[in-house]
Amino acid sequence: MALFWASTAILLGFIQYSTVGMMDRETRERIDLDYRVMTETYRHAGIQGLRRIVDERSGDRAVAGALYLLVDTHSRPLAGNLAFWPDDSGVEEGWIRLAIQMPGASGYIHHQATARIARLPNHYRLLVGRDIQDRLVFQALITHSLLLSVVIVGVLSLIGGVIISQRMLRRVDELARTANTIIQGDLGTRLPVQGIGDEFDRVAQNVNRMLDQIERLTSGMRTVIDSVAHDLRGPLTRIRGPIELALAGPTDAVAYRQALDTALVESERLHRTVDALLHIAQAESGTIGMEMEPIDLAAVARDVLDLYQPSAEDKALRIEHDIGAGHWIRGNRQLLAQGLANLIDNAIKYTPEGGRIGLRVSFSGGATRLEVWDSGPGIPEADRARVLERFVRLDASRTAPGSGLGLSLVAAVAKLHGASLTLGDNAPGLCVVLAFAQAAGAGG
Amino acid sequence: MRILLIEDDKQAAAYLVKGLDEAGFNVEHVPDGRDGLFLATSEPFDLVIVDRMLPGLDGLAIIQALRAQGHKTPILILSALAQVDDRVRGLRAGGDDYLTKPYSFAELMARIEALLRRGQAQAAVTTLEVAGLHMDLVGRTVARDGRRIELQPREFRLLEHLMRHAGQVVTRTMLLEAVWDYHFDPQTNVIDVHMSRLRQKIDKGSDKPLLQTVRGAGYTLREDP
Repeated sequence: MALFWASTAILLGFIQYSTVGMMDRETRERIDLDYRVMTETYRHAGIQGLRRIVDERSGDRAVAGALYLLVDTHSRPLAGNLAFWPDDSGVEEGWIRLAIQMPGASGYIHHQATARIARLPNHYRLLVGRDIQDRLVFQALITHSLLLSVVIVGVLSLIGGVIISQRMLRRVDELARTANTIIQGDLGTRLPVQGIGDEFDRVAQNVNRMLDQIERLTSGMRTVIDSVAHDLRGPLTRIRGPIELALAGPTDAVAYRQALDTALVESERLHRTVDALLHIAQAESGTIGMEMEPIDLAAVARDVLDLYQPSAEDKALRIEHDIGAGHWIRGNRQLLAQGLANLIDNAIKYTPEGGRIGLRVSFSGGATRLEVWDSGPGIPEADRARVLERFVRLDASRTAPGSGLGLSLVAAVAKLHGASLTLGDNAPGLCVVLAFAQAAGAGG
Repeated sequence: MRILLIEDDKQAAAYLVKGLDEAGFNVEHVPDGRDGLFLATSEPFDLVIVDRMLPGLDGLAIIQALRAQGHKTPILILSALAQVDDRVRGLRAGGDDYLTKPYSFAELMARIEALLRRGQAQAAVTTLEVAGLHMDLVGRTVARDGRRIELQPREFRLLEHLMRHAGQVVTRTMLLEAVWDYHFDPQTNVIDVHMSRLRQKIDKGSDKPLLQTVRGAGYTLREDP
């Protein structure tokens, strides 16, 4: 509010100065000009010349409002359009204000005038001035309208402010009410968007997008928790059953040992499932706190291939590879290796003996591409999106080894590295492509 | 051998103390971080096992404090945090090894053994010798009882690690860490496949196998006891 009044005051001051002040200055300049002409004439042509020019300028063809008076030493007028010398000013030389009488519609009326007076040699005195009554009226008009406009602006802004703040309060109330509904558990609700694109709309749209993501994550989490419960219950039952049986039966070291053996194997499986889940959770939670550094994807590929080569050879699989060198990306070496290990592990697991698996690292289309393929049964196109979800294994019986988390981890690692993951047809077999859309040699 | 165990999980600690005690170690157990740091600085220990998250003082803080005071005692970190970066953080703080819960006791024992012997065997050597198995680290050659054995580079590295830790149990994850520098659990039998190939090469035709499988734990290189 204070700012508003201060800026209003400055604006008004400026208008006053530039209009009224300018008119003042212009009047004085005109008087000065006249005055200089008069004094020059006096110097060159003496008192007679001066009388003549004063008469001339104050005669019939006088400039409207121009005032002249030349008096002698006894203040008797010699020339000019003023009746007498204004004595009441008390000023001998310089600028004065004076009241003059002008013929009006009914008798004489008073006008304000401004004038410059000077003493000439031989006790002559000269007055050159202008009637400024019109100007004063105009100035008063400006001042009044300025003040009036201030009052109007003040009142209008007060009313506008009240209306706007009321509207804002209404919308804030609305948002708060909806937010409360959401807090109370209704994640399906969205903040109202008016569609006028104002600040509130933008906030509401962003919050809604956030809610979409939260809802998606929550429902994803629910699915995961269901699957986790399923995958943990199995081993837990298999741990508990033999122990209960062994304890209920006769004291028998062999039976005890068998029960403990089973328990150990199953707890190992539990451990792996939990581990895989943690890694996925970590990869999915994003780069917060995760160390990303320049990694040569080719070196990682070579390592992992080296690790799995004997396993592939044991199954008489032909290994095709085209790895090259120096395919630098920003990433986490451990997670990349683990993801790639899962892919190659899958390829070996699902490809029948005598088949082939392959690994390629290349740079094309602005992306570093990591491809793993096999000549196994592949994945039907309709199922490809589904296999990336956690725990989904295409054989519903879940008899094949593995936790069902392999490809989910790969998907999570891809997401963490901003890479796209596509499952394609290798005809026959599966082809998995990870494309890291980072600049080649980024950070390297 | 004296081991200091700083662990707040009572059951886990009791089980560890029992196991380590049976393995012949003298174990001191403290459940609180502050007391643990005090004990570690006031008494001599051969090894400190510290839990990552502790009441009183965080495990990492204990390690940093010990290292800042110049203590060189090997430190093994136990942690329920399995994230890749936690391991890095633990080792950076000054820990010597990092084991994620739940761990198998065999894995823990193998790592304790490795840490305790680390101080001794790090002299620069050019040859390794285990019961007639000879490794020339400079010429990159291996021979058993004078008979030359051809190994691939990766098999050479595996064997080198086993020979440097001859007589100790080396787990699959320890091998993956030492030879490939990866810290994940390979989930499948990849390491076993490598080991069976290595065994083929060094023990083939010998009546005294050197590369032994330790059930539930890993491998060890030694003459049959």
